[in-house]
Amino acid sequence: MPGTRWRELLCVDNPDEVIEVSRDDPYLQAFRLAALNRQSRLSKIEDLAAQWPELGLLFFELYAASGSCGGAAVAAMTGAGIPLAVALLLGCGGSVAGFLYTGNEIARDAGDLANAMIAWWQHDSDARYNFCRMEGGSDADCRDREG
Amino acid sequence: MQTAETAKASERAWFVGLLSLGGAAASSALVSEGTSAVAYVLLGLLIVGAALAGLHKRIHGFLHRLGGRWLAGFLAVFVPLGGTVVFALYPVGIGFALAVGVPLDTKFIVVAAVSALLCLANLAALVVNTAAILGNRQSRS
Repeated sequence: MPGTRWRELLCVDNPDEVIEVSRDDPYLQAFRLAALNRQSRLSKIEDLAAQWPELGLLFFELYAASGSCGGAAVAAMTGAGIPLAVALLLGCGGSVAGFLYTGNEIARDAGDLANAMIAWWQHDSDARYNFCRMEGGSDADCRDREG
Repeated sequence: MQTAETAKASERAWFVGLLSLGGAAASSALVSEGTSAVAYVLLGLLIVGAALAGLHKRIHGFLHRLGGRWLAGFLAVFVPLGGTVVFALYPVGIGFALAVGVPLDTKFIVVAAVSALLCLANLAALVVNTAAILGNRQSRS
């Protein structure tokens, strides 16, 4: 793995900091795993955050549903014209179905986002802990520095 | 609610709604790439342009002819209410991520700021329209 990528994954404040670690240091593998998992969760969070256009679509479907459903109800009640009421009713059904589908997708994405954030936080804590132990910190010191 | 008040509230709601939709579409370019980004910018400009050209008055006119003051008045409150809720979701999600400490790219923070702005604009339209409707009912009673 290129050095620049490792620097991104490290938790150190100073990117020029060098620490010597034995190849068989038990915390090295644990740190690598936690840092890679943390990066993977960050990518997942960014993928989910890029779903922003779904909210615009939901708002548009809300527009369409409110206009067509309200219009259909009023057209039917006032007898403004059965063909108009039927057309609006079809639009109402379609836009409500779209609204529910998009709403369901957003709810699922929101759940995935929350899970990805929790996982990122856990992997970040693990990476910080194991990095601290590689630097020679005690268990108590490193647990204090996890957060 | 009187006709003039209904018209004002309805047109305000649709104007803010269209600007929100245009703003949401244009800001989608920030989280997209290539052709999609260009398409989102064009769509945003088209919607904002249509709002500035007076499309919101036509929407109100159509609803008024279709359902009278009742439908126009109902949507004058319902549309900004929906916009307030929908556009509050993104800043809450991104804010939560930042609070946890996730090092998110700046573009997501910019989009969250845009979304918060759209949420506040819809909230303002909701408050003004609700106050106008309630004030008018009180003055008539």
